[in-house]
Amino acid sequence: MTGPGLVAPPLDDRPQELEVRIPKLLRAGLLASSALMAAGLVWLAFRGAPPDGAFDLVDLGRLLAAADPRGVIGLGMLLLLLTPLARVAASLLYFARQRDRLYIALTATVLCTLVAAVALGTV
Amino acid sequence: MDPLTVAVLLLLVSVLTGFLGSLLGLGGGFLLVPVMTLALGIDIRVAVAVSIVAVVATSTGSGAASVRRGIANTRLGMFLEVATALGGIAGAFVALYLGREALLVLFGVALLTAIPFLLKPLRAAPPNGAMAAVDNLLAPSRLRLSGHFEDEKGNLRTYTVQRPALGLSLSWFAGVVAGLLGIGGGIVKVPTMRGVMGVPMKVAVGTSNFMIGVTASAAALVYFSRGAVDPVLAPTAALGVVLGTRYGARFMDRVESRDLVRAFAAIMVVMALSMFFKAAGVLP
Repeated sequence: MTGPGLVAPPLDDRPQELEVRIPKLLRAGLLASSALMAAGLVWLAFRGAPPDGAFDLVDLGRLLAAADPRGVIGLGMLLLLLTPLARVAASLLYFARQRDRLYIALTATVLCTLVAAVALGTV
Repeated sequence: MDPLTVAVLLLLVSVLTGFLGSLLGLGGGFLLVPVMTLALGIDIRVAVAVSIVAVVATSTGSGAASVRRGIANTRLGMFLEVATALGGIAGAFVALYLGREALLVLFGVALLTAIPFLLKPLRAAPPNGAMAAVDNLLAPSRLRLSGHFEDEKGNLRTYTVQRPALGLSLSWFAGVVAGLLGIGGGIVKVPTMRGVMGVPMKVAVGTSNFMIGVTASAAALVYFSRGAVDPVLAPTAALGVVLGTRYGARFMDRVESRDLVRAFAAIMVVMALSMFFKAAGVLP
């Protein structure tokens, strides 16, 4: 092991392959979620029914099943919010293949935190 | 105002804030929340949840761009995200239980606190600071955080990252502020990476853009699963800000941003004072 702050040359350990994949993944997520949100909003505007406030994760499935435009909007928002999570999951898989133990642990922790955010919110 | 008018106005306002935000190097949130509460009369508790969703949208775009341009230190980002994501959740939970007045006052305080950091960015921390040699557990060399980037003249510059433990603690705070106030939190992340960890400005901004998606989505997922996200206002703001940011990025090199930052600092003071007055009941 190199002594901290003593020998360590400024070596660059950039996960290059991952850095090619991440922008594509983020853009795809943003594009798909924007399309869903825009379509849902336009649909809602044309239907003219006033939306009755916010809904939670449990309502989302019900709204989608009932062909409610708010379901489409909600799905778009959920996709948007899960895009960073997908980026973390992709990073975890990459580091797992590299057998990079430290970064497996770091990305797994972040992934668990994001899953916990959903779980804690629905409690 | 009827809901449709508010939604249409919000679309216009969020395009504008996205545009201005990218010119100023600020995420949309710092402008969006005050404009929503002060100009559109939206309750700040609703505005914060709407804004954090919009922040996820903009940062997804700017994060992708930063990684593609090679100015985001992805390892550093993933390391600090451990703290910002936890902070984001904590901030969101606190906000869910805070009253309107408390949030208004906190946002006003945050606006005033941010001004000096906007006007005068911190100097880069000197290499080999005190903690770097002591901190064996979180040694930068073990974390492999050092990197290189291309500066304005096209020269390859390398840098080493200092004080990861302190940086991690401050990043937790950045996450709390982001989740609590519905902002990206770059205003804490960038000074932390530059002033404490010794990361060059360009890389600090790029890495902050990269990290904001995870920070904001941790908070936004709490708001969303709690049913606190308005299903019309949030997607409207998200689409508007993304659109505005896109155009702002094209103009970025053409304006003198120092003057813009100074003008904006004055506006921030006015917004902060208005929020205090609103909390006190002097303003409606």
